[in-house]
Formats: sequence, structure tokens, C-alpha cells
Amino acid sequence: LRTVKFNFKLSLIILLFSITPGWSQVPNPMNSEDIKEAVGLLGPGSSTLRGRASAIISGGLLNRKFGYAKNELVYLYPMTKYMNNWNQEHKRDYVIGMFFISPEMHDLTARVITDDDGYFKFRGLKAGKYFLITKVNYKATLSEKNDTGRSNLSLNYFSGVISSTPIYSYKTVSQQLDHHIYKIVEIGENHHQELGEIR
Amino acid sequence: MKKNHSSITEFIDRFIRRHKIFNIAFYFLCLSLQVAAQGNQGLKLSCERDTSRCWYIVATTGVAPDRIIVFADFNVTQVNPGVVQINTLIAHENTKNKDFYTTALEFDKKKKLYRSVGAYVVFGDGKIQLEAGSKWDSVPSGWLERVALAANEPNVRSNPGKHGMAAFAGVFRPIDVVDLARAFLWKPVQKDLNQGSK
Repeated sequence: LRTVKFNFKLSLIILLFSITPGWSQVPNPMNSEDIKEAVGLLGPGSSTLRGRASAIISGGLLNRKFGYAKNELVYLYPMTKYMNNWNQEHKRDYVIGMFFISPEMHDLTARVITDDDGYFKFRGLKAGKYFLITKVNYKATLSEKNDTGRSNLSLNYFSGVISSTPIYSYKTVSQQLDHHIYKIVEIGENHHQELGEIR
Repeated sequence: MKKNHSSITEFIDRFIRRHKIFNIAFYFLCLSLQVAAQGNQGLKLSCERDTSRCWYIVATTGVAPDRIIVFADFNVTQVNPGVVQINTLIAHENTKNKDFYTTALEFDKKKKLYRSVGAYVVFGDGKIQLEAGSKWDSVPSGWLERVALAANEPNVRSNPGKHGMAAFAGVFRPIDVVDLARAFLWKPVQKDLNQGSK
């Protein structure tokens, strides 16, 4: 059982920010040269890229439990000048950085879907650098701490209150969580690249 | 009826963008209205940007394991008055010879002519062969007629279901469309065939 302190306020803020359509106004715009460069890099090539998207979902060093991306999209963004600048700007926090990628750049990607075991394969890639993004969705069991509103009172001999401690109730809840994978990969000409398991 | 639905959708889209609404309840209300408005039109892909790709299945032929699907990108571009350009993809289930063929086609609606402005074939062994454009020619019956219909008629693109066409994927690279077709349209039959041979 994995115990994570559930922070309701933080969850609500993240939820609000992740679905608000206002974010679509923020990204850095792409100019026609950037678009031309990305389209060129997505042209037909002869290299392949294989891998398996995974995440450590529980356990220590000896009893680790892995989760695999089941039918998840894997994106490859060609590392154009635009993407290189974006990477320099947001390499400390790609999750936030994703909101600053222009919608055109999201269109100009290679995309495949993982199979049931998390394996994916890109065909027909051109040699070059790419930014890989995917996620592993897994179920986590959380322990939620609730204040019952009642307290344990310690009384002295004259029934005076010395101390009171609140009584909590613990509820086990299951939640679907996402582990995001961000990785820069470099592919050679006519090369069959094996990434192995990526986390 | 169709015009009303699309105008509601556009209005909501514009409203959300202009006002940068941060109200979660309103957002969900808008979202549900959009879904309801689009419900009668069938599943549609968004082709709002030049970089968007909207691959629709326009024709199919053959029987397993030699099936062929013709996809057309409904993000049609106007080359000059009367002439439109559409990306077309022909995916082969059996890769013994060709894997897929993709071409950019131009159609002249008035003269009922078409030409290819560039194409490439990917063979089963991974070899790529580039093809030069072709001269203007009359549109033959068959899959090219279906592609011409999609390219020339905005009504067909806005109501693909009525004309036996279906949305498939919004991915940019044709090769990813082919792989998606193999994974989701053709895979079950291939599995059955494998089980049968065992």
C-alpha cells in the first residue's frame, strides 16, 4: 500500500490549470521558417525507433513493481530550432513547458500508439534529434486523512482538560495517476534504434 | 439544421478564446454543448490550422489479407481559383510488394481534371521511391472519383458520413496512419488467421 498525502487544494489547482482553455493563448508562436523546418524533418526516412514506456509504480529496490503504457500515444517532436529554444527554456520543468509549445508544433509530430504491454515502434524516421513524450497511466492507492471533528481529551484529577488530540479517520482511495516520460533521442541514418525500457 | 449546429460550435469556440474563461463550470457547460452540437454530424476531425492533418477513409477495396484503404486529408488547400489540392494515402494490408503510396493531388472541378504534383511509394522492404508529378488527365471512376468528390465538394467534407466516408486520424505522417490502420483495423483479422494456421 503506497501512502501519499492527499492535498485537495493542490489537486484542484492542477485540475483547473490543466483544463482551462485560456492556456491555448499562451504558447510561443511558430513562424513559417520553423514550420518549414519541422515539415522537412518529418518527411520520409529509413530509420526506426523502438522502445517500451514504463514506470516504477511501487516498491523499494528489491520488490519494484512496474507499470507499462497501455494503448497510450507516443509523440516525437523533431528538434527544430524552435524546439531547441523551447528545450533550453523549459528543461527544468517539461510539464509546465508543454503549455508553451505552439499548437502548430503539436500538429507537426510523429505519433504512434503503444500496445497492451507498452511497446512502441516508429518507422520511416529521418536521422536527427527528436523529443519523445508519452505517459504511463496507473492506479495508485492513496490513504486519505479526514478530521472527524471529535477529540480525545486527557483530564486531570479534577476533570480539567490537560490536552486534546483530534481523532482522524483514514480512508483508502484508488486514483488513476499519470507518469509522464520526456526524453531526447538521437537517431542515425538507416538506423534501427532500440531504446529499451524508458521511464 | 447543420448550419445552426456549426454556428453554435463556432460561437462557443470564439467566446472561450476571447474571454479566456477560467470558470470550470462554464467550461464544462460549453464542452457538453459542443459535444451535443456535433453529435448529429458524426465524428469529425479538426482541420483548423494549415499544419493539421485530417485523414478520412474515402474508399476501401479487397479482402483480407490483401485489403487496401484509401485515405484523404480533408485539410484541402485552394491552389488557385477552381483548383484544389488534397493529400491522398493508399495503404496496403499486404506488404509483400507495396506498403503504402502517398500523393498530393490537384483537382480542377470545372474541367473535371486531376494531376499529381508529387508522390512517393514505400515498399514492404522499406525502400522509398519518389515519383514526379503527372500531367492533367480526366478523373477515372473508382477511388480517384471518391477523392475528387471529397476535394471538390465542401458539403461532402462537412458531412462525410452521408457519403460513406469516416474520420480516422489526425496524425501528420502518412506512415503513422498506415501503422494505426494495421494496429486497429487489420490486426484482429491477422490474429484470427494466425490462430487458424496453428
